[in-house]
Amino acid sequence: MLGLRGVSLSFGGVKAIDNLDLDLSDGIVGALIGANGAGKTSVLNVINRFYEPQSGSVQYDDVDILRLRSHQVIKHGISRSFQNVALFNQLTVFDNLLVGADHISRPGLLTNLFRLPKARRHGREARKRAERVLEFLDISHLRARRASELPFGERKLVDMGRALTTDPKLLLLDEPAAGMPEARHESLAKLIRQIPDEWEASVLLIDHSMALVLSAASHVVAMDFGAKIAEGSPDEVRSDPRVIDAYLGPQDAAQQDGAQAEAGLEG
Amino acid sequence: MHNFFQFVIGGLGFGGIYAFAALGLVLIFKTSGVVNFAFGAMATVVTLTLWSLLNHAGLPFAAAWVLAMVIAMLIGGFTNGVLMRRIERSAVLVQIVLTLGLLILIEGLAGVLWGYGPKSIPQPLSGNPVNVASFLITPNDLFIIGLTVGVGLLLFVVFEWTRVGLAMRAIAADREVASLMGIRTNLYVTGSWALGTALSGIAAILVAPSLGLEPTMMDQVAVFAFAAAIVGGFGSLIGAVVGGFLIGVASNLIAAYVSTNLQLTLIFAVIVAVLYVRPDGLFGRQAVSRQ
Repeated sequence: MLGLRGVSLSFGGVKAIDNLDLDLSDGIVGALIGANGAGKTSVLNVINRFYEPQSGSVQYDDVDILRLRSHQVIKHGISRSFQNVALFNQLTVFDNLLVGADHISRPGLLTNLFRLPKARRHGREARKRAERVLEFLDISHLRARRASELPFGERKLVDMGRALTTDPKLLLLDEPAAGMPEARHESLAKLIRQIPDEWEASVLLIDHSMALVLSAASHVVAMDFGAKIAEGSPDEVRSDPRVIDAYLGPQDAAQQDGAQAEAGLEG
Repeated sequence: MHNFFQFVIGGLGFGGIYAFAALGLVLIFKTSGVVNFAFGAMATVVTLTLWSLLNHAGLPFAAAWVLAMVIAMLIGGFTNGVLMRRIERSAVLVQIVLTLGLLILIEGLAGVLWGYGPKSIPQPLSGNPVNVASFLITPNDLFIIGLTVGVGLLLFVVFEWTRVGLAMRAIAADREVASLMGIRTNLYVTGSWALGTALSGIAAILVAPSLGLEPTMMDQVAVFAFAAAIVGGFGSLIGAVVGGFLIGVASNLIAAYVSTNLQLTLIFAVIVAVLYVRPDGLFGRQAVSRQ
């Protein structure tokens, strides 16, 4: 269970996050929506310990996240994918996933160097998990390709796969649909919906493609200028007048309702 | 033609020495992104320590060598863990300038501690050249070549096939993301400084019997080591080994057929030519910058 209380973050005079409360139950897909610059990625960067908020608290289960350093967050079961994809370009897809498994039951340096049974068993488990992720995302055929050779959409999938390989309890996905053709959004949404059951992890999803979010998430929080403006089921949030204002500017909401869902509301 | 190949073989011994020095440079560069200009001075201190262990402590050569390697790793680990860590968020250029400062500082300190006069340490293997398939080669050169190939292969296997190697490759690709994936990057970077210093220490120990051991001994080797690393692609371990042998053989051929005075000049002419044809070196991969 993730809980943010009164989190505020500003850069100079610009408020990126404004007194945000956010809860995410275990076992569900939640989503943060909002136009570009609404503060969505900043929220992930706070949870990830990239940004230090000026006030507020971030709690995950019993852990005070703000006391951790960024490389420790993953040990508490929180892992993420990146908006711009941060794969290890020179490594193969499979090796990228294996790096994700590195922190699980780490044998000592010497144990590993001399390949003692413990290290070998670990290697097998890591490989098995990476294989499962490849299959789940249907990218097994890319396993030997170097990450830098892949088109952006595939790299997004590998990035998501690496985050899954870390065995997370909470998976943060930063715009997983960006760079993917619209035709694939529905199948991506279906994959994301399966994550809580298949991988025993909850998901916090960010996207400005409303279509993807509505299809993948069961709980949606809408942000504008760093503040929460609406929260609820996808349908509730979609029809909230403040959300429509934030997306399309203050206009006649009823008129825009149909067009908005079709256009996918690219922010 | 027989002479030609004899000169080729004669260059392999020094080639192995350049390879070790280049391996040390490349290993540190791969994980930390820093070109360690102080590597030669650090390696010389390792060798001077070996000299003290032999002459003051009276240790046998093999034991002194092992102990010198341990000290090399401590020096390398200290340099990163204490000196470089403080400025790891500064621009890479700043970090490189610090290693330049270290080069001068360490050479000066070594002169104060050990004196400036050349000292001698024995070769690992002595003995007259032996005849291998009608070519003459000294046992010591054979030892150097074997050690270079063996260590090079070992490093390759560790880097490509073990989890430690995978973690180091991940750090080389993107240190920040590697840390985010739970890899203890500081530990690995310090480890690579330790190992890199041991590798260049081996180069200094092997070259000292030929050049005479004094604080600035490695300055002349450093240029060839940089050349070897660049030819190999500055980032590839195999490239460093192959580059070391290529530079060793090329300089021996230049010395034999042209002039010893032109060795450096022609070596760098060859490097310029290599870089024109393959800007990333023989084994380099195209650099991908993350800005």
